[in-house]
Amino acid sequence: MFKQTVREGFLSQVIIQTFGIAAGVGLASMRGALEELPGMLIMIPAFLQMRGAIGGTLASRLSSALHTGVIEPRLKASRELSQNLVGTFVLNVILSGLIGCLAHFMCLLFGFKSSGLLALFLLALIAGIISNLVIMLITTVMTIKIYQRGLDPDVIMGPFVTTLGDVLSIPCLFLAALILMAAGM
Amino acid sequence: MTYYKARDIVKQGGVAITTSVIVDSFAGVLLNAKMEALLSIPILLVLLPSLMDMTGDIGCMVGSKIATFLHLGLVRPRLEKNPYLMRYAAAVMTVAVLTSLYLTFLAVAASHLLGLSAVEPLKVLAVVLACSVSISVIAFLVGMVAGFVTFKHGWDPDNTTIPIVTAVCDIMGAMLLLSAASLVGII
Repeated sequence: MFKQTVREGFLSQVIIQTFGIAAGVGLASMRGALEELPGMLIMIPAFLQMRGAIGGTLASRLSSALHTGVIEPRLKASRELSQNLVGTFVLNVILSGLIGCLAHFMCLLFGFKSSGLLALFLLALIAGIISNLVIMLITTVMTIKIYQRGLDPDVIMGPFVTTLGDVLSIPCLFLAALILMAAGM
Repeated sequence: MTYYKARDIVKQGGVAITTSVIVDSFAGVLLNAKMEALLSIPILLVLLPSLMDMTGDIGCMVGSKIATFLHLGLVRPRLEKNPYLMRYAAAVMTVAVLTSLYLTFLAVAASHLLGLSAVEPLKVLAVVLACSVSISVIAFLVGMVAGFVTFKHGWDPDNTTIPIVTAVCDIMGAMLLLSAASLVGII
């Protein structure tokens, strides 16, 4: 067991952390935005956590649905699929908004400078919606395609989606920050 | 009627993810308190997503394995020496050390290519190793306690150990990154 755990654990970490460093490079290059929008740094761990959790649970539900036959392995609109996507989207909107508000209240609680409740709320919401649309599309298409090929999406999609979430979240937060700064907030 | 209902997905997912998001906001507070140091030593920002990811992954590996051991009856829910746990701990520790070497190499190379202010590679390695090794130990201790307590109460440790261990690992990860960095004199 020792050898197998080390081999599989290290190999998956090599792939995941290569993307992780790409996300880190993105974060380091948006130092300007982090300074311009105080409170933004507070929301980053929570935002990454949410992105991974929402993407991971969607992938895991779709995998189960494909294995049980509740969803057909075809790229076709169905009520089961749309309920899954609507649920994911609503959850994402609520949690993104919450993360923005939390960042502001943490600033108040711990005496940090904040960009304001509205700015942080909008920042998290805009970044959350953009990244979620991309994640939902990629997750749905890939999970179905992988299943069609006879592979098990349970094994592949979970780690892939959480890593993808990390890499996507940073540019989306950056984009949202640019939008807000252009709007003069 | 459909098998999946958007309302249930929002409700059930909402409870679990909201809790983890609140815990992670405190990790954000820790980072924000050291924002100036992070902005002036950007290699720490380069490392941040990877380190948070790695600590979460270690937490997951430990949490789900302890749950499996309990279900299989290979580990009894009490604090005692157990060969399965010891061997798994050694394997996780090895993964943590190997990944730290790889992560340091990538972060130093990326910072060099981007022309970010340089930090001695050995100091970076010391910080990454300190974080990953201590997180592995913490994950094991917390995973054992969380798994044992919930298992004794008749709950499924698969539902409880991972969220508890990963939340603790996220907070500790941010704390360890900052304290290790100041210990070796980077910040």
